[in-house]
Amino acid sequence: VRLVVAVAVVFLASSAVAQDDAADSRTTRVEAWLKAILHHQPGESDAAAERVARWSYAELQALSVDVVALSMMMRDLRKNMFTFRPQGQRVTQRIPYTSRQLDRMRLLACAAAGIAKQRDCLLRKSPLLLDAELLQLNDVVSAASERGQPDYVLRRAAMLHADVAMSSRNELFDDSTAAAVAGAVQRLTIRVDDGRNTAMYFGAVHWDIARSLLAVVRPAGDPMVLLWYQATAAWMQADGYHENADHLTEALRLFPRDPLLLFLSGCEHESFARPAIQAAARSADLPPGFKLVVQSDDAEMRQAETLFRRALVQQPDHMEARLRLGRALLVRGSVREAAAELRRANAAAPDDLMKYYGAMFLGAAEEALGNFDSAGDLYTRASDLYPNAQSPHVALGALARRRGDRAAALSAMERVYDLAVAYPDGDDPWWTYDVAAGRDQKRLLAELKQMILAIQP
Amino acid sequence: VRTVVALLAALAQAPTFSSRVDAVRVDVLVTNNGKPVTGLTPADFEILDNGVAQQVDLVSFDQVPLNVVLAFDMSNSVEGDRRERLLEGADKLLSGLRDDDQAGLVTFSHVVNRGAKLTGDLAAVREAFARAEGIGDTALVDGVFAAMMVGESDVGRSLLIIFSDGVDTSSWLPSASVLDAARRSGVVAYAVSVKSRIRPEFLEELASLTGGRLFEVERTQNLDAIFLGVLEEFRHRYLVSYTPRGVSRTGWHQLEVRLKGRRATVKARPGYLAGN
Repeated sequence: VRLVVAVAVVFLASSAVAQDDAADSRTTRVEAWLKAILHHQPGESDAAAERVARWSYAELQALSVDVVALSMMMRDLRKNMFTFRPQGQRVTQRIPYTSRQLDRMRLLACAAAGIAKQRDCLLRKSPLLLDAELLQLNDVVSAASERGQPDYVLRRAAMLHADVAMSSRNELFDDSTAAAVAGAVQRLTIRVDDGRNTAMYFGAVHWDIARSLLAVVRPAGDPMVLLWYQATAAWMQADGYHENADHLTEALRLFPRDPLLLFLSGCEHESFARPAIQAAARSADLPPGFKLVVQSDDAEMRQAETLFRRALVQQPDHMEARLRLGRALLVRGSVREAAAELRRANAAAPDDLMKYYGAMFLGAAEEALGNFDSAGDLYTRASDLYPNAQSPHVALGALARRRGDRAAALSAMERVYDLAVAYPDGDDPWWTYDVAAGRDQKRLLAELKQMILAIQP
Repeated sequence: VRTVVALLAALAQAPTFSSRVDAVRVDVLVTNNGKPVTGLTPADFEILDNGVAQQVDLVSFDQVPLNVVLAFDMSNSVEGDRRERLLEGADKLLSGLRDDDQAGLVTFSHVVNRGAKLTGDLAAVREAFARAEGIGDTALVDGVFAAMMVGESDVGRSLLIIFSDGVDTSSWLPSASVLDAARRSGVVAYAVSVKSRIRPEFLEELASLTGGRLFEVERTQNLDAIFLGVLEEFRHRYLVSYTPRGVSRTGWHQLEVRLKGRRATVKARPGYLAGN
C-alpha cells in the first residue's frame, strides 16, 4: 500500500500579498478558469480539466487568491477592498488590484454571477466586453439561478478542482518556486512509501480553491456541499491521500454533526497513528517555515476515538464507527470497553469484510483479556471468512505459542508459509484496513456527479 | 561431541514451551578487551536465577551445531543495490557455516514468506535467496515471529539474524507480543538496521532481551563482514545450562551470569519467561 500524505503543513506566510505582474495575467487566468468551469463535465477528465491541470503551482496559488475576490464581487459588485484569511491562518491579508484589473474582475463577476444582463453590469457594458463563452456562462448561471440553484459557478468550480486533484499529479516541490510565491498558504504533499518519505510535492492547491469556494455557498448546510465533502473525503481515504488539517476540519466546521464526516475524520486520525505515517512524519526533512501537524500516535488515536464516539452519538447504528472505536480503544489499552464495543459491532456486521475485521480485533481483545479459547475461535472465524489471509494464521500461531502449544503454533505458521507461496501478492484485508474506510467513494462520487448534473439548466 | 549434542537437544525441548522448567540454557559471550575468553568450565560460571545461585550443569563452547535463521526485509525499501549487498552478505554467511550447521530463510514484505526451512542443504537456501523479490510494505514484527518459529522448529541452538532498513508498517502482531515470545525463547537475535532518524526500538529491545546485538549501519556495503562477524561472535559463545532450583516455575526470571574470580565482560540474555 502506498500512501500519499498531504501532511498538514502550514506555511508561515509573509505578510506580503501576491503582487500583480505587468500583463493582466491574473485576470486572464480567472477568465480562462471561468471558461473551464463552463465546459467541464463533472467527473470527467476532459479538455477543460486538463487545461487547468497544466497550470503551474504558482499560477494556481495566485488563482486561489483571485477567486476569493471574485466570489466577493459576485455578491457585491461595488466591493473594492478584498481581504482573505487562508484556512488555518490567523492573519487576514489584503488582495490588491490595479483599477484596470478591478474593472475586468467586476465584468468577470457579472458573468460568474449570471447578472451580465442586469442593470449594474449593463452599466459596465458587460454584453459588449464579455466574449461569447462568458456570455454563455452568464446565461447558464442565470438559468440555474432562476431554477432555484444559486452559486452555480462555485459548485461547478469545486467539482472541476476536485476532478483535477483526483486525476492529476502535483508538481515536485522546488525551493526556488516556493520562495517566489508569497502570500497564500502553501502546503506540501509528502509521498510515503513503506514508511519512508520518497518525494515532496507542492500540494493541495486544487482542494484549497474548492474549499474556499464552497465556504461561501449559501445558504449554509447545502446538501451538494455536504455530499461533495463526503465523496471527496471518502476518495482521499480510499486513495491514501490525507489532509486532515484542512479538508475534514473544514467539512466538520460546515457540518459538525454529519456522522459520515465524523467517521471519515476519525479514520483519518486512525491512519495518522499508523506506523507508516508516523515514521514518515518523524523522518520528514521539511523546508524551513513548514510545520508538520501530524501528532504522536497516541494523540492521533485519541482524536480518532473522540471522533468515532461523536459519529456514534449522531448515528448509534453506525456499525463501522463502532468497530473502529473498538480498535481505537484496544490500541489505547481500554481492553474491556474495546471488547464490549467490538461485540456490539460484530453483531451488526453486514458483510464479510466487516466480519473479518470484527473477528480479528475482538480476537485480539479476548487474547488480551486472557480468554484464549475465545480468541482462537475468533481468529479461526476470520480465516474462514478470508481463507487466503495470512494475519489470522499469524495470530493463531502467536496465540498457540503463548499457550505453550508448540505443535499448534508450528502448524499455524506452516499455513502462513503455504499462503505466501500460493498467493505471493497476498490477499489479506488487514493490509488494506486504512483505505477500506473509503470504499464507498465511487458510489458517493457518482451521486455527487448526478446531483451536480441535475442543477444544469 | 555427539553425546554433548544429544544431551543439549534433550534439554532444549523443555524450557521454553512447557510450564515445567526442567533446564535452562543460556548463551553467554565472555570477552576480555573485546577478545573472546576460551577454556572456561562449569566451575568458572556463577548464575543467579532471580537472585538464587544455581548449579551450572554443563558448558559447551564451539561444539554445538548452529541453526542460523535469516530474517530479511524484502519490502520496497530494500531494492536495487541494497538488495544485492544483502544477498552477497547472506551468501558469505552461508559459506561460513560448517557441515553440521543448518540454515533457514524468512523474507518479509507485507507478506511473510519462509524461503527455506532449516536445512543443511545450503544450496537450497541460496536458491531461496535468489528467488526472493522486494516489494510491498514491511511486516517486520510478523517476520521476526515467523523466523523465531523456524528456529524453534528444531531443537538445536538458534541464531537469528535479522536485516531491515525500515520500520514496521503492516504487521498484525504487536511488537510487545513478539518480544514476549522472545523472552520465552532460547533464540539469540542479532539485528542489522540501516541508520535513519527513526530508532529501531523493536530490534533494539529484541537483541537486548535475547542477549544478541543490534548493528546500526550507515550503508549496506559491508553487510558480509557484519554477518560473518556475527557468526564468529556466536561461535565464541558458551552454551551454559542449569536446572533451576529454589525459584518459581512460572513468570519472569531475572538472570545474572558472572565469572568466578576473573575479570571479563559477560553478555547473556537478561532473563527468561517460564511457564505459560
